[in-house]
Amino acid sequence: MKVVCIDDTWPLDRAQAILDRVGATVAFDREIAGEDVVGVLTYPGGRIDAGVLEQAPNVRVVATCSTGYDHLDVDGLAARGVWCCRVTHFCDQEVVDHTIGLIYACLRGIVMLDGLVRSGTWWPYPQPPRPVRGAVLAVIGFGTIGSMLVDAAHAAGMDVRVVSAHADVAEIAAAGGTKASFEDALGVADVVALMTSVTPATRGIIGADALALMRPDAYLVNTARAALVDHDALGAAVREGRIAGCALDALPVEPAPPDEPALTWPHTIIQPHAAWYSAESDRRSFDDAAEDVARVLAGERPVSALRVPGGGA
Amino acid sequence: MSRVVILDPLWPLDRTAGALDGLEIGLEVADRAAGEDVVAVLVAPEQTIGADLLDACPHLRMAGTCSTGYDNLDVDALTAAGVRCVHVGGYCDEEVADHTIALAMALLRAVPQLDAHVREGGWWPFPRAPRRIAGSLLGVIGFGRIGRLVAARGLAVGLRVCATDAHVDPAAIAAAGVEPVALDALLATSDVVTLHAPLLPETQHLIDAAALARMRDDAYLVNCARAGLVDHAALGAALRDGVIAGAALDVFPVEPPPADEPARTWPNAVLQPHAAWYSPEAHFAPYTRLIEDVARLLRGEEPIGLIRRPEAPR
Repeated sequence: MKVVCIDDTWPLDRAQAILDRVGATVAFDREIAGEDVVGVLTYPGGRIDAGVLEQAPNVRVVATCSTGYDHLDVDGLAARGVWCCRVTHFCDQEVVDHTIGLIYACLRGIVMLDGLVRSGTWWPYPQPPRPVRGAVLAVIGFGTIGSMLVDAAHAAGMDVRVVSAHADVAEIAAAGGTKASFEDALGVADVVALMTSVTPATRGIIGADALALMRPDAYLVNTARAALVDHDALGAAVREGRIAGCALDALPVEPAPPDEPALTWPHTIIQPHAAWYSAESDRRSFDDAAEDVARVLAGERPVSALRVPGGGA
Repeated sequence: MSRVVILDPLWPLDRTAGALDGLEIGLEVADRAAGEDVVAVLVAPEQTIGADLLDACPHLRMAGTCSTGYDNLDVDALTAAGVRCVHVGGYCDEEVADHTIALAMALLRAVPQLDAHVREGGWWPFPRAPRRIAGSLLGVIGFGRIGRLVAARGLAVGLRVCATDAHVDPAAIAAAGVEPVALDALLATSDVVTLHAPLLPETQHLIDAAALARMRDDAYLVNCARAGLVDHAALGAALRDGVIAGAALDVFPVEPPPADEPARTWPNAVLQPHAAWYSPEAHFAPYTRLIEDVARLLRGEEPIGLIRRPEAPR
């Protein structure tokens, strides 16, 4: 049995160690071909559709080292009996860590002050560093990562308001937060953190109207998805001082092109889609995908399947 | 009429003069203190007062610094001469703890480095790989008021925390959920080492080349305390040679740092303008509290921030 990996950055020694237990060998190849190929490891840049079966008719599983799966033809592959798998929750802790790091960096002015010293200035500060303890954090979204953030921010002494359509008051209180309406949370927050996925209800949720609700000394932290924010409206609000600044780990176009307007905004921290990353989460994204391939080849059910092959959910 | 002379050029006279109302005392900001009528001299943390000030101000009764650290006062000599040395303790403990944890997390997640990386046209986190905060080990050197708050903040954001302090019972450290360890063990194991000790003759260059060599090559150093705790040249060499992974400094050997301050050229250094103490709430507290201690002295009361009572006070 052979598993073909089409990602040349994949740590194949780790994948092989996982696939050893089902007697499969893994190798990098740009072509997926051969009757002995039973599995495929891919990544967001490597599109796989049912056409793969023309050259490799015995493929039983395709796994991607990402949470997003736009690059997999899940319907077409499932109809032909192929399991499609992704990885989830491999970087929850990292995103929480990076988000709380950015919240502290905004309130304490870390990046701004570093620039000040490098430019030869010492005092006064363009914006005053503020206490974190007692500051109000509005968390928009209360999924796995959002609830972990609420817990950490509450433990650090922040007053956490949570906006969630599905979580109730008691569930939010158990994590250390207070349930609030979107309008109320934005109106009182020192920092607004976005912790929700993009749905028709949340697309553009931070637009000109929402920004107008925010305090002039408030910061926006987005480690979720760029589509949650009206980028032009945010730029106008930051440039005109209607909010204090922002930290963005998600941009409308990634990698950021040279004319990305946020590069010219004041009081803006830009991160290269880095919140997910640590050496551990990086390994886990590859290992979890390889584990699901091994499960399918062993006749077990994969843990992160997108669809049961042959129909059904 | 007696005078209080303030050498700190940033001192807000308008916010503090009221504390001396009705006390028959002059208050002035000057660039030097001299005269038989000078009873108190107040300085900023980067300004020093030695016993030689008594030559210029023979009737000096109080030497005050508007800072928590008082390494800038020659407390032994001044106190022996009967001068009350006064500092302002505890007015910014929460701010320093917040700023320290902010810097520790900024280093572990490489926040300033990644921001610069994007502005240089780069993308993806790999050139300065961010690390997990949760489970990383924070080593706190000095378990006084600020060290304790830093440890509590660290635990809150998911760090493991160890601490060393020769003057604190290890059981008290353990009671805070922090592992008491020896300095060498702390240096050898911590992901982030943070300094919260006073600058004393025995803590001068506590972090020298040998201490840096004991640290892990992927470890970070945070100094929101006093520059003299660290051998500045040795730190620069350690950063350039990859002996440690990075450092965040809120304090410098000369403040403000001159144009040729070498730290501006060090790799993986986050530089702060002695800002850890600052919040709008804390901004005026050291000045008002110190001037209130002057008023206490003049009313015949003991200053709250008295460091050590002279045997024969003036």
